[in-house]
Amino acid sequence: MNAVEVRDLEKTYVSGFIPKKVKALSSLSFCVKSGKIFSLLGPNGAGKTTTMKILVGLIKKDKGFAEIFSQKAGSIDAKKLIGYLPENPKFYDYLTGREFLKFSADLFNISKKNKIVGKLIEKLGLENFCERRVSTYSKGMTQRLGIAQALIGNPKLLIFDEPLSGVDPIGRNHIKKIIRSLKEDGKTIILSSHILPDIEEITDSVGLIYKGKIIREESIINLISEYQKKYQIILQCKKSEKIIIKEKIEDTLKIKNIIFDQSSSDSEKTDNISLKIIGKKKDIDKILSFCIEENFIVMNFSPELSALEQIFVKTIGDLDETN
Amino acid sequence: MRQINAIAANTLKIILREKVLYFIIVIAVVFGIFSLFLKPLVLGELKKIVYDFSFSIMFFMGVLISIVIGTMVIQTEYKQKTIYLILSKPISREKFIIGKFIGMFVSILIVELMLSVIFVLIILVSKVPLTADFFYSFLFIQLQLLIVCSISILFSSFATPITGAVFTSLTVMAGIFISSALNIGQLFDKLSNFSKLILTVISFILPALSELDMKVLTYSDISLNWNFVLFSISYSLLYSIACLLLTIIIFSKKEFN
Repeated sequence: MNAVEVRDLEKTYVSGFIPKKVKALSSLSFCVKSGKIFSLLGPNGAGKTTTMKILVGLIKKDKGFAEIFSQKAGSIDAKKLIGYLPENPKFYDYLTGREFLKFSADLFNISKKNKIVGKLIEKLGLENFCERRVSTYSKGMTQRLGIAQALIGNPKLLIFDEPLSGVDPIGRNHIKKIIRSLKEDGKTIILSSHILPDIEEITDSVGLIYKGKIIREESIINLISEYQKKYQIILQCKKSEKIIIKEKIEDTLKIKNIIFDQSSSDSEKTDNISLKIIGKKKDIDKILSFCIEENFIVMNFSPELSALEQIFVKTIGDLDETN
Repeated sequence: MRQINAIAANTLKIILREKVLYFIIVIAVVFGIFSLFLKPLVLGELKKIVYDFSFSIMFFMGVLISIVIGTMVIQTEYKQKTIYLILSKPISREKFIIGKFIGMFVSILIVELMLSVIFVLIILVSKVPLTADFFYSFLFIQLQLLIVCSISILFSSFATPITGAVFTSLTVMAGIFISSALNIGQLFDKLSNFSKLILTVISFILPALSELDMKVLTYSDISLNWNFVLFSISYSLLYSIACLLLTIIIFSKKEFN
């Protein structure tokens, strides 16, 4: 069953004293299956936030079709099914976290708000700061409160705009855990983010959006198998060994088209350097075996970029060049 | 109703935290106390002076607060983007505007009640008789302020805070002065039929605030006509409802980019 169905959505903004039209969405279409995590990825101004705002009823579409669990997007019935976390959410500074959640519960016409708010505070780990004014919250706390308010009313669909932006690694981990647990609870989630490796960890499918159009919609498994082709090894070796390693790889192993990159932070005074070798998966596998045999210290072995970073850089880069 | 109450209560909290509100109250009190020192100058007209002062201050301070608060009450939600979190919830835009209006009017009512207590004390201190007409006039001031609030929220739904404040001030001033301006030297009678028609339409659109000014009751022997009271209440409510409906129509088309 489709939780969200969007077809041929169009939106043009008109702004300025002398009206200027800017096309934000142009024939945008995608579907999100119930219980899955779907991520909208794209460069700034691609139309991710506009799409989300149309789904939650903050912006009206010009043309097209958008439904949420068979309810017209933007209608009160559809809003009952949605929890929304905007990008950089702002709360009333003078309210505490708990007071804001109670206020949100009132907007959902919830009668047993104290009980529901208490459960959410516990679920999101807000116990230690829910009695503090929101103005004193860190970015991570703000995002967690934002997620908590989005969960009021037990919505089936969650729309999170940049939930990980500006949050430190510990905070990001916490939010990723929350998102995974929400999926386990059966929620459908639509995300947008620029932190692609994090998205890759949690999403089920991806919609790549460019100039208001979905240019690719794919499951994350398919993308990883297609794009995770370049790998890297980081070695620790002596400066004098760099040339030897290079020669052995090129002459003995007969591997060409390999990138060697010495870390720029290595001090002139020390003899040890970090050497990054980037190449195709099969070549890097051979180099890895060789390094182990020769007793070099392998610091890291991983894909060069995450699959999402690669598809993002390649697809958007190609489109930018053709335009 | 729970949703409207929540918006209204939240609006009340926002407004009561505004320092400018307390500054206006202090100025009102200072003016009120000043009226006590006019006693030696007024030659037996103290009642008229004290009552005039009290009602004028209550009205103008109420108007000032309505303009200052009204122009910010919705705009602050846009500016701080808190509106994203509210309108993404299952609350209609109509309920949001009604809640905002109620919160705004209740906060003005609270200030007006505080001022009325202070002015009652001033009346008692100056040994001027306190009559029921004081409370009738107070009621009529609230009817005037109900209209001013609805005009203020109407302009704040589409204009910037400054232009909203200017439009509200001009509309209120026109509402106060248009009928008296037309009565000067029978100006209206001297106009062409077309001008009369236009002026009639304009005076119909503008709020008849001067018609709701009942200060005269408190220091003259004119008795209150209850039909007029009923008509005034109905007029104020209908005018405010019309402004709110217009606000709702404008706000329902608004997009939050």
